[in-house]
Amino acid sequence: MKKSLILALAAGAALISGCSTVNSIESTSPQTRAAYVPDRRLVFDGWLAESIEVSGIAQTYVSGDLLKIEMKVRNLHRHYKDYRYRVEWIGKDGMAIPSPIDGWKTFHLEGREETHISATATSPKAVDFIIKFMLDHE
Amino acid sequence: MKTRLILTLLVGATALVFAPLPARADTVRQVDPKQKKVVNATQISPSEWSEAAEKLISNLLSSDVLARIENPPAIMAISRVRNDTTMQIDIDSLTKKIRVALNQSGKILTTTTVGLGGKAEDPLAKEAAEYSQFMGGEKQETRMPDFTLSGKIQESRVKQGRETLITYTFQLSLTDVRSGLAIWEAEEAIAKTSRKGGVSW
Repeated sequence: MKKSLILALAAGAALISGCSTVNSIESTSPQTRAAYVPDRRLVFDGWLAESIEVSGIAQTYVSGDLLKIEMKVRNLHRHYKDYRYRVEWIGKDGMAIPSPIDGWKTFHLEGREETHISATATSPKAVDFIIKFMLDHE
Repeated sequence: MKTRLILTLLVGATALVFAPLPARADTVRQVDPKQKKVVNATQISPSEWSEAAEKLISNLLSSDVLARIENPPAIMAISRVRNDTTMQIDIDSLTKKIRVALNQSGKILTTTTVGLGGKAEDPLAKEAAEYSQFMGGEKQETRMPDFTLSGKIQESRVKQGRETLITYTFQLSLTDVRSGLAIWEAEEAIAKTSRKGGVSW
């Protein structure tokens, strides 16, 4: 009796929260050879870390000498979520390089959806990057 | 005793309801315009300008167009960016960010002395060059643009029931002046929904 009540409540909660997940299909033998960079993660918000998965950060150079990064992110929830991210570009001297487009950006992921987020440095002086994530509460 | 207590509570509650709200000082604080997110149905907010510019700039920088420039930096002039929305907007909110990004990239610089219809964005710089040429007798070399940036901002409103979907579409083209061909084109959209309240007073 108790078990069926819990199940009914869970189903009801899922229905109310607008549970919608994404299915995807991809090639079993991908031709891509992304250059993933080893990363170090600083986690201050454990809930956020369990909410979004960043599975690989690839980097390349575009327009000759501009650093471009791309990361795979996945919403670990069964319902949609809004997140924000910001990329800071760092020069050889370890100092941040200001960019006209370095603010927080919003992105939206359906339940269990995986997508790619990319960012391109506007200055050839950028050799490193810091990516920040947060939940979009606004 | 009980009646008195109820009466006191009732008077107190009534006084609270009808009492004017305490005067609250307006608080003003500085915020980062690129960080603060404000979504408004009738305006494009700074964060939305930033988002649109970021997408367009990333698109341009990731394309091979800039890598093909033979002797960087090339010169770009800003042509007409048409405002097809119902709002009074400053197109510079978009083009300036693109100009700054291209300038930082070292691939393209923007001329401020050659503009649409012969109008210079910086008339003083143009006059100073002409004056210097007149006084010194030396011909000043004003570099003519290799590329022009043009585009359009569109607005669309689709209503369904109480909800309205508002989409702003930003279209830009970079044209090679020599060939007259658009060597880069991009379109980015920002969409938001506005929902009318069910009860209005």
